[in-house]
Amino acid sequence: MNGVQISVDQWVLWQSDVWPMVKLNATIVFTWCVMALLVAGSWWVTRRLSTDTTVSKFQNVLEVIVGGMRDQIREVSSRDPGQYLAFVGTLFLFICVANLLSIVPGYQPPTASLSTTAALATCVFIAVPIYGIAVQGPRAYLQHYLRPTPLMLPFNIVGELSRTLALAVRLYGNMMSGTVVAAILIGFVPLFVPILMQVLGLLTGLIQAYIFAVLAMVYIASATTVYHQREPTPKAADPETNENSQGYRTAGEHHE
Amino acid sequence: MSIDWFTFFAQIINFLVLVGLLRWFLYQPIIAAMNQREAKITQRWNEAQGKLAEAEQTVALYQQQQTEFEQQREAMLHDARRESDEHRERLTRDAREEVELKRNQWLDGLKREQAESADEVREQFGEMAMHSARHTLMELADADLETRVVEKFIERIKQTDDARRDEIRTLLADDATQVRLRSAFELPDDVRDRLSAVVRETLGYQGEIAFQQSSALICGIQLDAGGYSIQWNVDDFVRGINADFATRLGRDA
Repeated sequence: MNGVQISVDQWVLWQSDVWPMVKLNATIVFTWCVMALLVAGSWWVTRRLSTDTTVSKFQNVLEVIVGGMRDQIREVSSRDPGQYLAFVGTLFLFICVANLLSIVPGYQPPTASLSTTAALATCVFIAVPIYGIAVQGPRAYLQHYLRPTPLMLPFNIVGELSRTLALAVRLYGNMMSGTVVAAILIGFVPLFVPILMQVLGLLTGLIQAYIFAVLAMVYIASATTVYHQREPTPKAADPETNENSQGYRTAGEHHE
Repeated sequence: MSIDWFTFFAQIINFLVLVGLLRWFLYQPIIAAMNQREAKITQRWNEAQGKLAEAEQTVALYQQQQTEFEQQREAMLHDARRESDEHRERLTRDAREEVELKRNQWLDGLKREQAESADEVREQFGEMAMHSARHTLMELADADLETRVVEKFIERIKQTDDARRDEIRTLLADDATQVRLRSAFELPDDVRDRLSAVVRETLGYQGEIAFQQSSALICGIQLDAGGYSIQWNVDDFVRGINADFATRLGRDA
């Protein structure tokens, strides 16, 4: 890859002769590297897990990460993080590690590829209705698009699509810009400034991973929120009505 | 800025595979370990809470026992003080009684000694007075004095009250006791006759009257009849003086 290349997708390492569209580009290869690193590290740490009060440093790090992710999910969605942890946590870990590895010379983050970010955003786009239907049922979930009035249906659909697009482009733009700006600055100021840009890129990558995961969780949480029609004669003493003045309540905790 | 669709789908698959792998290798074991540790900590916490409660219970028990011990100690101390006080009071009372007894004994002894001393003084005084009177009367004794003594004795016989005189008469009538007349000096025959006449007249006694001379009578005459005696002598005056002397000493004669 030279300096004029914008996307890592164009860095092709192998291409099939029979089906030219089947190829191994840098995006896929580096994604596999990140996956291998995550899985191997997880396996290496979790093969000797301690359930006592004294744990190894790596186990402690993993427990802090997993516990932090669970707390974040619980804080954002106000419900048990069990069924969302694998999806949202993997989003965060993959994006985070993929971005942080950009400090390694010769490495290109897969998240700098619009194909990758679009794929992740599409996963979120698909996961949201799956979780919503799983929690509320298909009818209740689909009625969600008709609220507050059926006239809002096209806007709700456009909203779903646009936020998926925004999710993909935001991550892609941030990561790609970091890489490109660093490449351009090396041409002008070869010393010191690229280091600062690398540090800034690490920070940006971490923040973007957090933003992506939290937004995904927010979308899932909004899709799994059960809407309740207000009673004609509201009871002032009803704590449920008072607490959920917007008419919404969390499905996971009030599912009957 | 374009999407490579093969990469796009490959990345979706990659991501889903990664979700599965991390779920298997990371989340489940870590969460299981965390839950187990949490359960252990909870168990230890509960055990610690139980032991703490047990310790607090033990502390409360010990405090209660300490309080009871303190109360028992106070009670025993109180009893000991009370017994000590009682013992002291008893000892004090015994000592007082003993002192009182000793004092009474001493007072009795003192009174006895005082009485003995008074008796001795009285006796000595009486003896001295009698000796003095006897000596004086012996020095002064003559026929006139003896005549005066006989006159006074006859007057005393005649002045005897009727009840006593009747009693003496009764005794002399029932019991033929001899009437005896003792005198400190030798009575002449005419005096004896006169005295016999007075006795027979006054007491109605017709028997023999025995006349005796007794030096114990100080210048006096004594009539003994039926256990009664009528006398006149200086010894009576001396005894009267003795009685006055004893009265002035603060005790009865």
